[in-house]
Amino acid sequence: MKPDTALRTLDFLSAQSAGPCAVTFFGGEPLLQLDLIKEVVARSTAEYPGKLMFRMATNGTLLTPEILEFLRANGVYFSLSLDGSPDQQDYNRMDATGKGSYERVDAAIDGTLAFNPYTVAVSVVTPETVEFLAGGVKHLFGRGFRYIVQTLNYSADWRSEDIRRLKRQYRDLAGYYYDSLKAGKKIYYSPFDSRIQTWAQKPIERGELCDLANTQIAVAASGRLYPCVQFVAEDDEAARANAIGDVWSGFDPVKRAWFVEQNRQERQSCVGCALHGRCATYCGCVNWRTTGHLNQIPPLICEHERMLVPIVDRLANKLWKSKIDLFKRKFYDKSYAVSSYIEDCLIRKAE
Amino acid sequence: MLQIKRIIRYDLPRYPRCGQYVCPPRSSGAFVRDAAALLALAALLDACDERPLGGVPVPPRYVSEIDARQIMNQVFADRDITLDSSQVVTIPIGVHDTLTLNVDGFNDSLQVGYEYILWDDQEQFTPDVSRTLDSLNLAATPHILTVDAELDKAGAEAHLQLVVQEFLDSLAAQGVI
Repeated sequence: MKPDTALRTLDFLSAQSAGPCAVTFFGGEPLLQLDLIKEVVARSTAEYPGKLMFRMATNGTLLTPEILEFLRANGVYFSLSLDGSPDQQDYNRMDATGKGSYERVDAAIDGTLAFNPYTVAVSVVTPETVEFLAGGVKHLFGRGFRYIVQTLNYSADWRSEDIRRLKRQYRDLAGYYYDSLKAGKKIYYSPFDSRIQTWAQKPIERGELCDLANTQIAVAASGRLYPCVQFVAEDDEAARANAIGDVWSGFDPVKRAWFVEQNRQERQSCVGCALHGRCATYCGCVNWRTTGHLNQIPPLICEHERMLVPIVDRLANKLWKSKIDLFKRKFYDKSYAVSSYIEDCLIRKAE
Repeated sequence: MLQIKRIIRYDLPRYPRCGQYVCPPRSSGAFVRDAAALLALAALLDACDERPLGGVPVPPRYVSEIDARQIMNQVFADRDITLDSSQVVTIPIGVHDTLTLNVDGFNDSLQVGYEYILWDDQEQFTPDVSRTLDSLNLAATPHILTVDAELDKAGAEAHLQLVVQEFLDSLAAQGVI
């Protein structure tokens, strides 16, 4: 992105947002444009203090103590794209020379967690790395992460056998999750936590999991606006058909409204399903990428949710039945986020 | 081939739904107490060259096996299910494997039973074994309820009864009993 486009984007977002607005740098690898990030953050601090918050999704290979200090000083929190164990990470995430990236990311983990103990590790599972899943998740928690957000690579060629192998891995992890909560270890593992939340706290409403084109938009390097990062692709002629405006002339209200309306439509294939409101079929971006339609779900999501939700419910049943205090607090105590944070601060001080 | 299928029937989870249970927030008193304890510990650690060993740990007291068996047997008996005590049960795992366990109570004709897990049972009822039992399909037999040792405090008896009742309810819903 050129500097004038980046700075224009700040003006646009600031003008469009009634309240604070979170801006996430994504790529590729955003730290390849560190100088631009610094310029953007400095301009925002000077012109829109308190209005824009910055976030970043990085693969961590370029993180240095100096960069971490800059991010800390400016409150730029980030998630780390880290699949799991070295084998798992190096299978799909290699540099230009074909060398796996685990070693370089691993070198940045301690500094990252010192910067923010709640840094999220974002892990992507492919059919080829399924066998590493449980070991990889345990590895990341053992490495000090407390938050793991894990998704499937929805574009990959998944088969029934892969789902069966995935099921075995989730079962293994269910035991690990149970033992961890029983031992008072505060961990967040999105495949389990998010689905327990849909029962213990609130079912997913349409547009809630994914509010594309409405409260979340993506700005391409060219300054074009898209409903979500999934639509940017190469920002070429084909992708442009889905653009909903640009940072100079603003939104195309008709196209924008069309995306919002389509995304909020009922998924017809899910009407009457007992897992309605509990699964991830509401992510219009994933639907669009895999089926070409915002409200048409891919078979992979349905297979995955039908397999995962019962495992998660059995796990939660057992946690409840065993009266695990952390389980009750985590999912049923509205003040948990605050009380847990204070508790952590006190423990860190004691250490 | 992966498919989209509606789930028509799904057993409701047994953990509370939103609004059915509210975990009381930790009281300010509890916070102050925890904070004071942690800060005192921090001060203690700062003041010492070596980490203190602390006081003599007091092991928690659990409902005894005899009492637990009595409570749980009664719930089975209320449903007209009589149990033989200390039975050896063989459970098929997958196509080829089996697991042989000595359980506290078992009805051979219904293939239903339970095990109350105290310290001396940990050897055979490892977390892996418990997980395996939990993961067995309800259609698979036998049906063994595993119950972790219950702390000996007010409400323990009621909780044990509830756990067995829920187990039997789920078997009844599946048409097993």
